[in-house]
Amino acid sequence: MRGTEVLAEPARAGYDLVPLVAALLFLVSVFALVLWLRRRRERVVTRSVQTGTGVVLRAGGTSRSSKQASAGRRSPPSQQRFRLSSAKLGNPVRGLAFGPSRRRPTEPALTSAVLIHGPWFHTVYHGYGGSGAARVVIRAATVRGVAHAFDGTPGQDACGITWNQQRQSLIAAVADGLGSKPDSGDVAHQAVAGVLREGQRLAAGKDFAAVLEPAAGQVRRFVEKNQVSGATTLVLSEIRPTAEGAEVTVSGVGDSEAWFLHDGAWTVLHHERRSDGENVTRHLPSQAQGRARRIRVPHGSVVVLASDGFAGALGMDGSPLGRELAARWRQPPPPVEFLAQVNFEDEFFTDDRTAVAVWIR
Amino acid sequence: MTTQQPTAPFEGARSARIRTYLIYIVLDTSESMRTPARGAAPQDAPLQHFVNLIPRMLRDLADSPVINSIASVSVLAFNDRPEVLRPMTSLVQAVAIGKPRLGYGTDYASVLKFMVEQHPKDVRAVNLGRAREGLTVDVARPWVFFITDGRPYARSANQETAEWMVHRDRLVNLPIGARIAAIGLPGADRDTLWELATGDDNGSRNAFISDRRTTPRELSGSVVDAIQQSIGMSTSAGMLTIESPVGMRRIDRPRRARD
Repeated sequence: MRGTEVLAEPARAGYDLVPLVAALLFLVSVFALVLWLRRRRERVVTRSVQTGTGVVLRAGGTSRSSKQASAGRRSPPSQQRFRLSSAKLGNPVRGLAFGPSRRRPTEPALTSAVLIHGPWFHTVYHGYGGSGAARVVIRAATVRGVAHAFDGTPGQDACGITWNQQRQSLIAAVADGLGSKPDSGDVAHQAVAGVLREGQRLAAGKDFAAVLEPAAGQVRRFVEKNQVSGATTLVLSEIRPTAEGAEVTVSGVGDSEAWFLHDGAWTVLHHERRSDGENVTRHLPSQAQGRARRIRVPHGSVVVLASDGFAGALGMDGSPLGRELAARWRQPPPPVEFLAQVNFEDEFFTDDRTAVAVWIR
Repeated sequence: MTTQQPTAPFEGARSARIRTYLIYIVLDTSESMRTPARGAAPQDAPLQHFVNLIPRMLRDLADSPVINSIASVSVLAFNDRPEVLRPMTSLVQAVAIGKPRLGYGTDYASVLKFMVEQHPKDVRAVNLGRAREGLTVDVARPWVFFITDGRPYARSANQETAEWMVHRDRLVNLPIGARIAAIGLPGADRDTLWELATGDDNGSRNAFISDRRTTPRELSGSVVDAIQQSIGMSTSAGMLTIESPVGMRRIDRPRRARD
């Protein structure tokens, strides 16, 4: 009998527990839903952090951003976020360290010369020059290349920008020290410093190309006086905002390059690429003869000076990097994103990378 | 848009360019390389050491991100005739390394001729292997690291310099433009090394002879260092000469010229 009673008990208890189990299931479901929503929100950030701070270039395929660029649209924030999380679907570009910023960065005014030479670390600068309609927005970054990082040797690139009040123009320079000489980083630093010094004091009405000669002279004296073993390429530019856009003068010695981007198309302003695959280049202080060029660029253009570690991945007929940046540089990116873009990931480009980009508004 | 230059120098910038390097490691596998020094064990013969060390050299080279990504390496052996131990492939590709055939001679002419014929095929293969959408592949002039311990000898006789020099010249002149570093083990003929090697306009050549105390392992490490020196860096006038690898001395000039 006792056994029967015992058997009957659970049936009654189970009947009484139905509302309790239902309530429990409901609570578990709500909890799971909350968890799922939280994980979903975190996944975007996690994925992008896992990819590191570089843009990855792969052969083939067109990224969502490129398609959007060709369609002349700017992605709303929600689509940009999707672009980040869709990286694993085989798009040529993976996400950056951070999603697109919800607010524009505060742009500090370029009040004095800025010289960037980060032999051991990555550096990024952002700001603006000029005022009102003649305002240009600047991004500059330098990244120590994989090759130097692997060898434990310093990066040898340098760049700088300054505003010439008399001429109402921005002066920019990028120098790339020759890897075959140990002190080339210092020489690149001196070359940019020389351009900034001479560019800042250049009087209105004088030819900007005249900056190169005294700057090269300073480099030569530095090398001779300190008996250093170093040499550098140099590309320099003056960007003078005008009512139609900007007047750009470019000069250079060696394989650092100048480009401008407009309407999704890249045009080279200065390059000395060789066709024989040799890593030989003209350089300071031995060769101080610049190849100068002047061009007018319309509003919406981006003028870029860069060392060959970055510019070598650009091409006028399209390249994976060029296509991506054409899509992403319709507006000045947040500074950290710009740094990540300069630090794009590609196994073939192991050299130091430096880029100064100027948006003509 | 206005420019100061009537014709914009656009052509070279039509596409992004990647630079790639071909490296030949050429190993003398003649009888003398298989003979250990007096009193040494048979496994201490230089050839056996190099055969064992080649995979290690390739691993050391692959450790460098620059060489790993932009260089392709081929290993050749020669005695009576040349043979490919490792075809020209990038270091990221795992490729079996063959065992050298037995032979007796040190036929410079045949191996140099073989390289002249092989180079265009290697360039094509590397171009195909590296081809990527939107990028142009530039293949730089090849570097040849020629490791030997003897003087040219073929068909039971010393090989006349003129017999192999004609192929050496075809290899080092354009369109191939190879740069040769001749690395002599103890006993190698200094004059031959000097004549084989290329160099700069100042008369300095990449002809080296190793110290007797240097072990094959140190020598192979030096070859790796020399290869790393030779590529990847922007230079002012082209990397025509490399620094003397550790454990080796540069041969200043041929003795015959001095006499």
